[in-house]
Amino acid sequence: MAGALCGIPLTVLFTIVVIKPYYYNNYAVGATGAASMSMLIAGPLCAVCAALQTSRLRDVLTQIDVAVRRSVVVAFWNFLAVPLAGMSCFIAACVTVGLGSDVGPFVPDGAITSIFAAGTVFCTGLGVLAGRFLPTTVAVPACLLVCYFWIAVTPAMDTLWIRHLTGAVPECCTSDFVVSGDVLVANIALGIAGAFVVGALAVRRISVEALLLTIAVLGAASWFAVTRVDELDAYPVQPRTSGLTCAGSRPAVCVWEEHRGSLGGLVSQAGLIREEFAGMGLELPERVSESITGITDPSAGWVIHADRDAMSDADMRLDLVMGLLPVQPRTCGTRNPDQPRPVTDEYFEFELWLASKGGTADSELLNRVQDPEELAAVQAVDGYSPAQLGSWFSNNRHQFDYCVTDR
Amino acid sequence: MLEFEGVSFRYRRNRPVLADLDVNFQTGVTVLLGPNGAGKSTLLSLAASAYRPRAGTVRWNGLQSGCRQDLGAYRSQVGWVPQQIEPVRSLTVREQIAFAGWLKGSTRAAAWAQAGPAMADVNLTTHGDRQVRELSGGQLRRLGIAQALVHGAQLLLLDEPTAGLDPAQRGSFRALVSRISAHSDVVISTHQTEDLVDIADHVVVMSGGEAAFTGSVADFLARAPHESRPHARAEAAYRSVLGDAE
Repeated sequence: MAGALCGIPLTVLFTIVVIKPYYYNNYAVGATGAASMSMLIAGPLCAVCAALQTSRLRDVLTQIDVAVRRSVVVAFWNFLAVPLAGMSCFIAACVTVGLGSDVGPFVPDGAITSIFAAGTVFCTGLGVLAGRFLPTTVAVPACLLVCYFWIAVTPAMDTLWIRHLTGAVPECCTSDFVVSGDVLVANIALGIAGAFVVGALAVRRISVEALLLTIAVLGAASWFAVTRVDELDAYPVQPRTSGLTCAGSRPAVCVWEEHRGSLGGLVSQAGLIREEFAGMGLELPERVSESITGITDPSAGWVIHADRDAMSDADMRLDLVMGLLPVQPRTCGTRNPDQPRPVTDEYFEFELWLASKGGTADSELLNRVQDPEELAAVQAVDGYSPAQLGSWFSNNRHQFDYCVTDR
Repeated sequence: MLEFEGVSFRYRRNRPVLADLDVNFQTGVTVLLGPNGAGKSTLLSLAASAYRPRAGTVRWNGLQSGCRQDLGAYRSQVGWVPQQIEPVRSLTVREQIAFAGWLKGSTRAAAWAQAGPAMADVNLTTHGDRQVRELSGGQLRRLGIAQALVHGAQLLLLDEPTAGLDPAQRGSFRALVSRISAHSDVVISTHQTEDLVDIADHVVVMSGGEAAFTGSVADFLARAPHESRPHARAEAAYRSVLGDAE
């Protein structure tokens, strides 16, 4: 226990250095996902502590053989502190993320917390395995090596299914995504297998039957877990379907509940923008939403991201207008903030035009283009007839086929 | 009374160590004698319920070690000190004794409280805060006995407790067994006869997995009437029993 608690200062330091607050602004799930990266510290610590505890208990097996308490009870109480210490690291990381970002104090997401807990139990099981069969001097470095290979190296090797089983869910969730339930199920299966290893091997003499049963349980849990996650994309997420708060009409504006504070301003700005575009002969959809779910066609609505803290009216206007850019098909369901934008001329021209309408100054727009002629071409759009403008606008809004997000 | 009735046992894929053994251990102090490989340690392991007999029953005060319903009560009344007492890393003497009490079913608080009297019983009170790894061989033996006594065992099983002790330590051990026997029955396994005259009430001699002799110390010593010195007489009686057994 004490050994694992030593990981808390290390976890806090790690969290401060590694976490990027802008990915999960005001979003508790994203912040929890970020905090779950502390598995990189807590996982190996749990494994090492479990290996040390197992090797200590090996010395008193003769007493455990004749104990009144059942061996599973002895295992439970002798190893409970290890995953609890790992969870303490996680809570310390959550507090650090909350304090270091605009999220503030938050209730950690239950699914990611469960994944983390299952991960600590699994790492504890790994430690018991090592402590049971290896000398202590070999078991401890073996635990560190295995855990770090498992957690840290596998993503670099692009074995995605392993990445989803590490218990760490880094950068999992921008505000319109939540962690995939498959990842939760898979990790809990591994956690149960880890707990079984602890109970079966830690505090009793190993019979051939027990060893075979343990191997069978570990194998079955691994097979089950892998089948649940090996079809997932690079980020183990699925579209968020709940938690929208809506207000206004023509257009109705819907934001995630953590952005409720911006809703009044957004309704007001959205109404002004819709009137302004109507004046140009352009009819905007009657729904603006932070969720892409249900917006299967550009005419059904447009998507915004109100995730900046303390938005001014100008910020809101720019976000609302830029939300008219078509959603990129590649990003449906697995949006990656680092993914490059499409580079078609039409898309770029439309983006500049919207930025101009959103209030971006010409001087700033000039900085975005390589040739001033490009900006002149964009400004020429304002000279189109209403019919030409309507056609141009509609074509650009439909540049990409919309994805179906309930995948 | 500790009873073995028709007990057979063998280790995995080995020849039988005990075959259809019937033997009773009376109340008081019993010395279990026998040459190496006679089955003494196996007998005590079975009495401690560390192993289950392949056939037959082991009973203590009517409780059967092989009966699931009796097992908890049986183990809570029996204390076992195996040949090797392993110190647990980073635990103090008191902590290791309290851990043994917790394993025997006491609550944490009760085990911690019981560790004090158990240490006092074996003269380890002044070492309570020392790391168990720092103890000498004789002190480790006493630690093992304290672990076996901490939960108030009514039957204490000691496996080769005097092996490796010097004469002074053996003297201390005899005094310790005398104190313990005031409130618990004791079975001491050994292949040395020199101590039994001073501390034992009964003798059981094992040979080849069978009980070659069961009776009082007086009956045992009567097997060698011509020896006058007690220790030599015990040794002669032992040889006599083994000779008859062969």
